[in-house]
Amino acid sequence: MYKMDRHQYNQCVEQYADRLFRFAFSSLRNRQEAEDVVQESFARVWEKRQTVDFAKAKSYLFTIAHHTMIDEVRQKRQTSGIEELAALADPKGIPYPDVNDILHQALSTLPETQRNTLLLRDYEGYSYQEIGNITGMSEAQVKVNIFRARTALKNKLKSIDNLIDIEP
Amino acid sequence: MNTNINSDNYEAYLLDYMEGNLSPDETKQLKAFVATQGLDWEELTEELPHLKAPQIVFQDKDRLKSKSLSLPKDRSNNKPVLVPLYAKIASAAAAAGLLLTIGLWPEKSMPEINPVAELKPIEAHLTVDETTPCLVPRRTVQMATTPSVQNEPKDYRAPQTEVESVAILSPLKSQSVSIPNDADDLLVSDLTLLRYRMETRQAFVYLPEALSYEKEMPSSLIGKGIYWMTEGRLCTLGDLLNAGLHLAKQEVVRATTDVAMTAYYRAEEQIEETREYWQEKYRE
Repeated sequence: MYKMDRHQYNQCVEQYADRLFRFAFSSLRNRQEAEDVVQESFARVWEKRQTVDFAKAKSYLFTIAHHTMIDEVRQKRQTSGIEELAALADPKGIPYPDVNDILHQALSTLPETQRNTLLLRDYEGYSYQEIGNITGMSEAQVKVNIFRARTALKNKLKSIDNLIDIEP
Repeated sequence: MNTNINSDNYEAYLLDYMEGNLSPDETKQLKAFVATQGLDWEELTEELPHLKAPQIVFQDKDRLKSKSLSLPKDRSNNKPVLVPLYAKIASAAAAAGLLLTIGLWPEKSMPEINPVAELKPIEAHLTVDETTPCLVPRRTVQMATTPSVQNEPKDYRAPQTEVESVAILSPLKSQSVSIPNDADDLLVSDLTLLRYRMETRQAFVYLPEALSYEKEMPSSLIGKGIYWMTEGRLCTLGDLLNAGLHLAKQEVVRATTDVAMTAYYRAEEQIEETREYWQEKYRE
């Protein structure tokens, strides 16, 4: 007996594929690898549809994506093929503020765990407890990672501000 | 109230404070802890940035949907199939294995083998069993998991007067392996097997066996890779190489495009050469 039928699974694809891809791409900044992560995650959900119900599918998808990125993709990452996030942004969507663009570029300098926890928080609006469930960390660890990530991004912005101030 | 603030968790409390989730008492304790560490409270509690989520669309949703998830029963069904990551790795391994076998392995290092049977056309439905003639002579010694290349001349037995047959993957079938846990070991085993037992021409004998997945999935990594690369639609070695190169992408293609093309053309030449050889032999 399946907890999720074919129709519900396809609904998951419609509802979450974009979000999952955005999460993976923002973390990896490589389109091909991000697509692989999305495929892997949905394939696993389909395989586990006996135990994963529709209501929990989203967090299950993000859990698989997070661990796939940590465990597998990171090891194979190559420095070539890096793409800019802005290049994938929907031109009809919200225009990129300069600060946000800088922040997204600075994301790549963060450790993987900090980056993923921050993305889950800011993109998906997950609670710290939910992020803990997805990443396998305690709530306090999640908060520490997010605080450090935000502080690093803040310092990045400050350093750019300083550079602009120095310009004649 | 004792909040047990320490150097491992004070940043979590700082985040709570900045989000307005600390009581006055907890705030007091946090400030006291920060002071003991010689940190600047004002700097630590400056406003922190938040990311705005961009609008990004995953273009290929249809490929993810369940109608494409099951393996095609009908070989003529050419719909794209969702390929898990491990399968892509296996595909890359297969492509690498074939490239190494066909394109890179120096022929002079292989033992000289005279063809002993007719070269069968490579077809997706063709299977190899103990009665199917092929170019690889039967081994007299049970294959070790990872045979040493140094032992090659001793273990290798040249074909005798009568036609002998063997399924090239038979030694690997006895192994109980799984992907991805044993992928590395298995790949080593596969490559060693290929290097050990095959020369360029004999690589073709391997293909029908690898494609005989109607009975069961091939038990070797390369077999699985070929299976995933082609989903049973493979007809020629050229298709195999092309499919392998397509799926292997970053893992293989970037580094080996030239080698792949060389191997491809060499393979075509070898097929033609072998066909002519046997046509001539047959006429005799």
